[in-house]
Amino acid sequence: MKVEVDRIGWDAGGSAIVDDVTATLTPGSFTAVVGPNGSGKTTLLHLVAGLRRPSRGDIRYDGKPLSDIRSRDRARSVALLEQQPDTSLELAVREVVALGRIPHVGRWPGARDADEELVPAAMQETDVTHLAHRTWSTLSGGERQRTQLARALAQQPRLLLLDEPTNHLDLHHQLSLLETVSRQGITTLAVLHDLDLAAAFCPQIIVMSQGRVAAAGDTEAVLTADLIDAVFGVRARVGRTDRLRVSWARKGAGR
Amino acid sequence: MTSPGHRTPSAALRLLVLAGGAAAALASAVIALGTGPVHVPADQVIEVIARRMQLVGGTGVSPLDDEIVWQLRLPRIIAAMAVGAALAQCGCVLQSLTRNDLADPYLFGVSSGAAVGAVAALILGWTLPGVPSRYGVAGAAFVGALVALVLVLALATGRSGQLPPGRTILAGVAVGQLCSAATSFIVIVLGPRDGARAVLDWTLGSFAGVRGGDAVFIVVLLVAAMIGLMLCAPTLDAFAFGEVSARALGINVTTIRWILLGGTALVTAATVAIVGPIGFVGLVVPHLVRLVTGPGHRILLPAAALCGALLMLWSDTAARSAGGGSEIPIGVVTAAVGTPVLIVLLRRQAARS
Repeated sequence: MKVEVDRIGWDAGGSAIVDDVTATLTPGSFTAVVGPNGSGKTTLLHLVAGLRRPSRGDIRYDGKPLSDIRSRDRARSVALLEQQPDTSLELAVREVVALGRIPHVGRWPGARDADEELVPAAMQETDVTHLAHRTWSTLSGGERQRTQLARALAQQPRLLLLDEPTNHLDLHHQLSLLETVSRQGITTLAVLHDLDLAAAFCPQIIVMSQGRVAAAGDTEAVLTADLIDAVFGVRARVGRTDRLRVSWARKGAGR
Repeated sequence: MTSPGHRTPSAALRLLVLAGGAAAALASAVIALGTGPVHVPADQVIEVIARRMQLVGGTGVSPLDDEIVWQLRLPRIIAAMAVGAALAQCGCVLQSLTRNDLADPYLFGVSSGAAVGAVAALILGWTLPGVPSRYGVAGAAFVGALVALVLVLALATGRSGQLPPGRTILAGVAVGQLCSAATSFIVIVLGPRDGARAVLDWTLGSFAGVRGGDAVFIVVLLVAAMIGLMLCAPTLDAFAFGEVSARALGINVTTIRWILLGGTALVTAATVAIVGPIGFVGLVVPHLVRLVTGPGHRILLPAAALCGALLMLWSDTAARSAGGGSEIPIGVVTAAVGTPVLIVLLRRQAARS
């Protein structure tokens, strides 16, 4: 799905949390959103997801204004992976993944899901099949995140929005989660904190600062040491070995 | 447990639980219809009902048995089961929407508001001309519940119409306290010396005054509520991971909250007006049933309805037959049954965390 974000802004308590953001996500692209805490990344993600209505500007999915799309129809093509989703209910992994079918299934009791096999398929894709009957409270952080990703995939999204999907995951699970996401070929927008992970997985990047876009475009061109210094106040080294790499130095240490 | 590739056992379990529950409810109703100062054997009970439904000629039915079973006990038993089913389902909905384990149908000040109305009618004798005082009290209670509900919603509603659960609960507490103060004021300052007794009786609930018309009204209400809730079952499931997640699954959270919070409050208000506030059923049954069925609402709601009906029926049967000559208030029975269950659930949860 092609997503056009046209000069959107969102205000809260009299000040703009997100302001004048313009971006285009081409079909099948994988774009990172990076920026310091409080720079409006999650809000931007929620605006693109249609969970909040922008105070200004427009968002279009494949040319169609988001404000014209009914929420149920929207949920059939857009899936969101929240930051640290949690529940006190004793839901089994399979039941959590099946939540992703809610937008697709009729409301009448006994209505059958025509694509019932999508639930096991999504579980296979994120490697949680063996956990099917385990309950949510017994899962580790990585298992939870993979379960939620399977739920998002069961939604059959054409746009996937991820809010810090690698938080609290060990290195192995960070890599495997992002590899699973890239493999889908779905248009993806992911808030990431780790610039090196963004450099490794996301060909496009949006750098946010104080609610605005500080820079956007091809990651190779955008992610420079000067930009990182200006936005994060951290001196980093950006180089190419086998791929684009971002490494940082402790404040005060020589470059 | 079946292996993950197979169908999950929930479909079979669902049928088993619902069929078992329905059978238990029917059997309990027959037993309860026979229980009381005059014992009527089960085969007589069935014959009375079959005759009235014109299934059999029923020549062996005595007029006395017919009067006791059909006219005196049946309305009461149907009302008890319907109110139990309604309150248990309202509890499920509210616990799911507010993501609060302590939510019960009286959360939004509905029972305290109804109490003000009922007390005003009982103590101050406010009645409408030509309306029997029984209906006067019910009507006043219903109006009181509505006023409390409107107050709570007005206090909790945000600028753009959202109804966040936290603020709604707080508003419910505030309005509830205000109503309790009003009730106490009417009873102590305006009322006669023995007024407190009548008020206490009302606040503990009773099915003793229920007539055939009341039972029919409650059943109609219950059927409407059940149909509406079954349509909402997937929507309620979508709230498992909270509001943002529900929105992302295509739920219009604000609209759904208004419809379901308002709807459950109206159903609760109607039951309170007729039989008074009866605690614990709406709080405990959802927790208990979830242990067996899991949290999916397509099975939780009908199973909770059956369990609520059973609990209320047996509580009422105990209330009217255990106390010798006089009835025990049903609120005392449900509290006596509900509190230990709640404590066990609490300790189970504590042991797991």
